[in-house]
Amino acid sequence: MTLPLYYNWRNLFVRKLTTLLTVAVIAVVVAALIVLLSFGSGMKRSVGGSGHPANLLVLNAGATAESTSLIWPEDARLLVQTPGAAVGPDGQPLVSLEIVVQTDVRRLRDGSSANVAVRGVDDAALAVHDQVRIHGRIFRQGAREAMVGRAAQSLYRGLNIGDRIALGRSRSHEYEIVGVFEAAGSAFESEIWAPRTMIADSYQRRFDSSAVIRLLDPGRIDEAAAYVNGPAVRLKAASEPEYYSQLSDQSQQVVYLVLGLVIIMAAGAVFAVANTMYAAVDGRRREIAMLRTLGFSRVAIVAAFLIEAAMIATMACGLGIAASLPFSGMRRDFLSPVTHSVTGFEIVITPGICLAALVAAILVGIVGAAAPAARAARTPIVRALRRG
Amino acid sequence: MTLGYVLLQNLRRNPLRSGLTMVAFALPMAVFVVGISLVLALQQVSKANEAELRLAVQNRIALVNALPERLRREIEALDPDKRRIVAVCGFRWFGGRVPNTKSGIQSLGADPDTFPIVYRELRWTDEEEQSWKRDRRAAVVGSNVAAQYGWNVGDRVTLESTVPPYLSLEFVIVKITDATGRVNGMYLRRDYFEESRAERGFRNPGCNVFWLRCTSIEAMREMQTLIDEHFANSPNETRTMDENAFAASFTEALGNLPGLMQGIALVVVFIVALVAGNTMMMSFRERTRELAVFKAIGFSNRRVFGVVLSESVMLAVVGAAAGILPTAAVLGAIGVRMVGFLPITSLTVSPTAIVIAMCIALSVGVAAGLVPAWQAIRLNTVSALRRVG
Repeated sequence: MTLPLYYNWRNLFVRKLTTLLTVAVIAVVVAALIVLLSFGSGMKRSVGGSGHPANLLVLNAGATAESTSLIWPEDARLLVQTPGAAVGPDGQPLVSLEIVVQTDVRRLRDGSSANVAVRGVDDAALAVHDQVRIHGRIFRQGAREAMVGRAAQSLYRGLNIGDRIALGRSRSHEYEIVGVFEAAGSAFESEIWAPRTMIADSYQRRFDSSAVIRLLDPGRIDEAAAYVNGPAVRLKAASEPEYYSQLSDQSQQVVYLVLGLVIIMAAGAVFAVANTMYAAVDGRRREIAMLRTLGFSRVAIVAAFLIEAAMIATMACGLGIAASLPFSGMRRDFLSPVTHSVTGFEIVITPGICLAALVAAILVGIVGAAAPAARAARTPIVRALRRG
Repeated sequence: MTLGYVLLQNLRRNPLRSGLTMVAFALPMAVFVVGISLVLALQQVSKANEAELRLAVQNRIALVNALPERLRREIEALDPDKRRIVAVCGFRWFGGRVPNTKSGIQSLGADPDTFPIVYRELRWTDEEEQSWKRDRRAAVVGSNVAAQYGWNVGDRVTLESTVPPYLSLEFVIVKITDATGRVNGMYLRRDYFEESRAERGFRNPGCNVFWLRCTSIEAMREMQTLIDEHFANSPNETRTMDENAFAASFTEALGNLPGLMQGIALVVVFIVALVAGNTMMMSFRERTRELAVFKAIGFSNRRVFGVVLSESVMLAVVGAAAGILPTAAVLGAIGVRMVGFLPITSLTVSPTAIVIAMCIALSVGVAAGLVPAWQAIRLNTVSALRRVG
């Protein structure tokens, strides 16, 4: 025989203020957790989710990022012979040579300056990075035209279609923005893309930064990487997702640090719940004894208190989600210490994060209520009933 | 019957509740004190930086775009009689890492002649300065980096550069510094670096940043505008800023850590206030009759108010201390070394942070006790005594 849920619900309102304060404690922890998780996952998604599993990213063997990599033309020529490379419509292997440089833009939010990556690409880039969807049109090769990623457009000034942006080593060349592109939420969306030859000219660059090779079969990526890393080419190859997840790891350290702090706070909340539930148990000794007399089992009593705690936790979770919602949709960017350029990301409070927060909240509630519930179950019936 | 005795008895009356409240207080306060310590440490670094009167001159477009090394002469020529500038030192990013390791070291090539002047706060001994100037392979290493790799003065170390042309160079450590903000850095000689670059065909000696030491804060502000105006509309437009503005562009990389920590601290204050308030409400409700008895036997309102309020304060302060002191002791003992872009030696709890945390705990205790204490004064003795409870 179990107690009706209505009994638990009513009990929460017997001690309104105490219930409310306990709900608030858990809600604050939940809100902090949600904001942090969505912050971290937004950062991670923007970088870590970039790249196609069949793409092999090639850098100079000594470089850690595209922005500090140089590929000599004679090495680049060897890449077309990479085993397993897919072939484009023109019959050539799909190898996209890219130049990654930077320019300084102003944030829309406060006018502060940010370094965005500028990627010089050929037409092959669109075949290799096939997640790119263009609004407006693509730049014409040989023209000083550019297209900007969606994240960059929404974060920085003067990056709309029709705007002109000064690029180049001394910013002496004006490029017209002719398109805005999406790239499935990846780091490319924080970049400006322009024709490779024009970027090479504007930035006085003789060498490319990186090459991306599309393979026919992602399963044979090791074979292709072995060729690139090997004595014939002596460059450094990694699958694109691998490169980007490594980049995102470096940005996650702060998130982990703060997550640790939030977990300690959640542990504190466990004790706050225990405190409340002990008070509830102590105040209801006679009632518990009476329920036992009526035939409710110890298990039913334990369950009743755990359910009450879970109800408190669920309410708190709802409140916590509500409190964190204003942060949802906020766009921020962060500077990678490796690439020295910024990546924009959006703080999105996903159902998954809410679920994780709910689990955490209920865990806090149940763990906190466990000891008080056990005490309730041990209530000596006769003595409790007799007490005045 | 003294106040202290009553207090102690009250806390012991429900030891479980007192204990739980204290733990619920201690854990968030431990978080608070760590967060505040980090913020304070960063502030201390910026204060130390401010005192050095340094300006950074970088390429206006991007730090990675090096400025030609001749700009140093041009900057120096802006102040020919040296009334405003003490010295100018050019720096080039080396981006070194120990072979076969993943994490890089913030390593920069510095102009050998002016480096000891511009970074005077490294407290050079004559011997150190001489070996820096004598040996082209000389390197000055921050104490954190030295500890991480087990390096000592006199050691020969090899570093691989992660920027073109990806040199692999050998250095001799001539000095290990623990100066504020320099503990995670490494400085080598730019002439050695540039010569090695030239051997590989990179004949474009340049600097990512020129650091100037100025004579006064006014001189600093003057030079800041003077330099940017001088290079405006040239192929090498500059952006000149003070050291803290320069550093701020890097702390961004961490997703604004000080801001995050302040947010966390605020959340903690909120939590402990709720916890303390909750406990005080519960214990007041249980003791309504007892307080009525106090009043009936002649305790003054002030005394009753004091009993309730000081119980709350005591719970808060003891709880906070139980969180803060072990945290400070443990962090002090293990000394979590901070590597990477934060210019902090180690994660330790500063005395100022402890004082701030205790003050917060005290005020939370007062705030939480205020309502029950007020209710205790207004308590109608007769009806409270009559109530069955």
